[in-house]
Amino acid sequence: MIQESEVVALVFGVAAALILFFLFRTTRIPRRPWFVAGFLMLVSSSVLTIVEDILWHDLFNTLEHLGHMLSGLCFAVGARSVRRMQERIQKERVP
Amino acid sequence: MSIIVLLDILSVIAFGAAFFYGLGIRTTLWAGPARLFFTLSMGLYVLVALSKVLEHSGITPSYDAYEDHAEILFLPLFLFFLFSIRARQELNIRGQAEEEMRKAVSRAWEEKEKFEAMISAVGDGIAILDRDLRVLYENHVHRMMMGDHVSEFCYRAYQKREAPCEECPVALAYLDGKIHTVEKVVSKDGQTLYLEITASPLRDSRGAVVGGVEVVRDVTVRRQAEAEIRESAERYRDLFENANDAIFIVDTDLRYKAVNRKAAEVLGYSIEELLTMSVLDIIPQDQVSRSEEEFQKLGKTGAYEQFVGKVRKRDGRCIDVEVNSSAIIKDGAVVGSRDIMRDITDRRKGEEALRQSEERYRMLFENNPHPMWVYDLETLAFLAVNTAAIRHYGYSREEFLARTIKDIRPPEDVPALLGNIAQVTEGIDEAGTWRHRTKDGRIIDVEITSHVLVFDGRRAELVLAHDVTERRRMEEELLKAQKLESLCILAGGLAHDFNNLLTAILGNISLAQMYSDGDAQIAERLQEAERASLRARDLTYQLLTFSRGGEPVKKAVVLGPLIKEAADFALRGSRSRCEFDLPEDLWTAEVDEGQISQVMNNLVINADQAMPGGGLVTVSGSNRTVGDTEIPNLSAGDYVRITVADRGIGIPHQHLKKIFDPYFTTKQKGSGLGLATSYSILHRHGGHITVTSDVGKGTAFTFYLPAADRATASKPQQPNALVRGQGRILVMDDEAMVRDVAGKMLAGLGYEVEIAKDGEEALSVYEAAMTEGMPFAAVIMDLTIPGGMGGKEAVERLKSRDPAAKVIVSSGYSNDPVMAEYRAYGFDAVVAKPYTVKNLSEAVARVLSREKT
Repeated sequence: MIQESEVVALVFGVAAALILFFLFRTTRIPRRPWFVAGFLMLVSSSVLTIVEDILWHDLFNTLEHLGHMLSGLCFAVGARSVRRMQERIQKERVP
Repeated sequence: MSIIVLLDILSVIAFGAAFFYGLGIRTTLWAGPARLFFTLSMGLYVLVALSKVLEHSGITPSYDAYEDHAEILFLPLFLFFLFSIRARQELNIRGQAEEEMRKAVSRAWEEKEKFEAMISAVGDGIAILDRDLRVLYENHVHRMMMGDHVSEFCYRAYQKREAPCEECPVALAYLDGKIHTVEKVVSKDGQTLYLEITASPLRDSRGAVVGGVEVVRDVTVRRQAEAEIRESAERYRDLFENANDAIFIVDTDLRYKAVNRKAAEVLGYSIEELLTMSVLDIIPQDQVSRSEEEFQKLGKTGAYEQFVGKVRKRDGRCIDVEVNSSAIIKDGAVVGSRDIMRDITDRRKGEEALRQSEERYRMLFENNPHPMWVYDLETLAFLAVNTAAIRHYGYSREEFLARTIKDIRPPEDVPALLGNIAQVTEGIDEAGTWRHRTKDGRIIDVEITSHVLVFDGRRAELVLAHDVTERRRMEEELLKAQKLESLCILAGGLAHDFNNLLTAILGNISLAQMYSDGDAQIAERLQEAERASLRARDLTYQLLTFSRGGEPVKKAVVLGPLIKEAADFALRGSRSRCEFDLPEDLWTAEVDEGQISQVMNNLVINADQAMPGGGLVTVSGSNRTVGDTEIPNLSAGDYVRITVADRGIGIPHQHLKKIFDPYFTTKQKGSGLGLATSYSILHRHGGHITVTSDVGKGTAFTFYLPAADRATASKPQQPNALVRGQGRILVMDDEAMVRDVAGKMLAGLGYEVEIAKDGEEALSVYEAAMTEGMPFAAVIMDLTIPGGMGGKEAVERLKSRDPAAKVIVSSGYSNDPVMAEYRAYGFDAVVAKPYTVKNLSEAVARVLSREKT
């Protein structure tokens, strides 16, 4: 059964995604693809949470957890990449 | 463990890792809030994932009660994004500002570099000083010139002083705020430097003088150049003023703008006077137009011109000058000319003298009668030849100059020539006699005298060749003539002695004939002996003619038999034969038989030699009456003409004129005397000889002898018709056998004979006979008495004592001039040795009969 909080979360996620879409058209942050991908995975998990309540619960539930795990993975890779970039810049500045 | 739990565990790990990495990020990329929300967000998701692990693994109950607030999970993540974007935007703005700052700094550095480059590139030294005259800055050139003295006081650094210099331009600029320039002479590394120092004040933004800029320029080179220019100008002024040539600067109106001292000296005007004059004032009237043309040409072309003419001095005299002019060009236009004038009057005189001298020497060379030439000692080529050489050797001048001296030498003499040239030394070289070859191949002997000289810059030799061919030939001929003369003397002596012998032989034969009493055999033998003796006498005649020549002893002779006999005699033993055409009515001629026989002998032998294989020699005779100028060298009169013709090789035309010259011969063994002797004999007879010849056809010699009279022959003589007589005859002869036989012959003829061996004795005997009253009817005198008085002197003395004396001359030298002209010498008759009793009787009878008549 579809829960209200799940829908609200989905709406919030989609709304945030749209806002970020417009913001990212003019400004780019370092390693943006990984963070955007992680974010979109989270939004997708929200969608799958709702879908699992409608049909094929096990499949979509698994996919929801998979999306969640992939989202964490994307964020971890993005953060690590930013950190490595930071370290490289610091090395270049040291004479 | 279900897959869900596994995925949740992985989620916990992944978000935990993200959380961990997010904590380590401190850069400005993520501003504080962004990092905060990221780690917060990741932390929340760790918790969510952990709760899910607990939930799905059944460890803890469901957290559904909290899931209603799950939407809050997006908020921190959303905020992370917002702050990240914000941080990024700030970062971009700051980056742009930094970039502009960086560019500005870069531009400032570039400007600074440019400025320093400009300052360094300036050839002058630049320094900036503060108010205390401390050096704040020096550019490279300044350091090079003055040394590195930044932060030092300039007066200490540059002048080693403790106080500023009195005329320090920087200090002056500080005082009045103006620019000051001074020049200083400094010594650096032993060199004197001229420095021009310019100082200007340096002001701050308020206009206060805070320092000064000192510009130091090394003007040493400029000063040296100025000094050189001054010296150069001085030199040119000195050159102009003291030149040995007159120098003028002339404007386009031909007026003098500047003249030097020499110009005034040459023309006789002062410099001031000349500067008021025009070129036309010193040019003679007749040269004005020409001079104007030259100036116009110079003005148009601007080219260097030279002309020679005359100018008139102040005293009116004209002098020869050579003027070299060049146009003065300013801004592309001719504004005048500079003229250098030289007085060449003396030079012209010198040139004329030199020309005349050269002409004289050229004439000496060119008109020298001896061949002369100059040849190159290296190439041996002729460099110059004179007219005598051209005439002598037959080459034209061009042909000579295209040849070398080897070309006028016989090839076999060239090695010796080259050897002689290799040893040529300075000075006169008398190289001796050489053989040269003329253009027509003739070889001539020349005496060479030479001298080494330099001709047209080449080492050469002047050669004088003296042709000694003729002299050498004459020397050879003289030698030959001397030999011949010796031979003639010998032959003459032999003939004389032989005649004496023959006189004895013939006389005795005559006596034998007288005493033979009609014995026919004895008479015949004696007649043969007499004939042989007479032939021997003819030979002695020829020998005498050969030896002495001389005047012919003429008598009227029928020429036919004489000619025939001489021709046959000459051809004896030859392969040629003679054909005669001698008419019976041929006139007699007064000739010397021996000499005419010799002429025939020569002509016939020549004809025979012209036909080496033998042939026919035609001898013809005719009577000819010659008119005036009909035959050259022959006066009008009657002549007997004899022609000797052969069919031999003929004589080349060029030799015909020379064949009667003594010693001219074309035969290898010929003496060149035969035809010359014939010519001489015929001329002494009053005759003449001519020759005609066709090469390859034959030659004909024709000679003319004056006819004695128109009688065709002398009267035949009666053989043995002796003329007997009476009276006393004196016989004088140095030969005893002649005296003996003559005495016996005269005794046999009825005369009484006395003898004498020389002139003295004859005169003595003759005078004694006269004294005794028994004078001699006639005297027979030998002409030549060796060591005693001969007939010639004796007859003179005898005639002086007895002018009526009858004297007969007798001599073995039958062609002696006395024998031919005996009357001129006082003799009354002549009888040549050897004589027969008949000859003697006729001569004596002729003298005695003349006495009777």
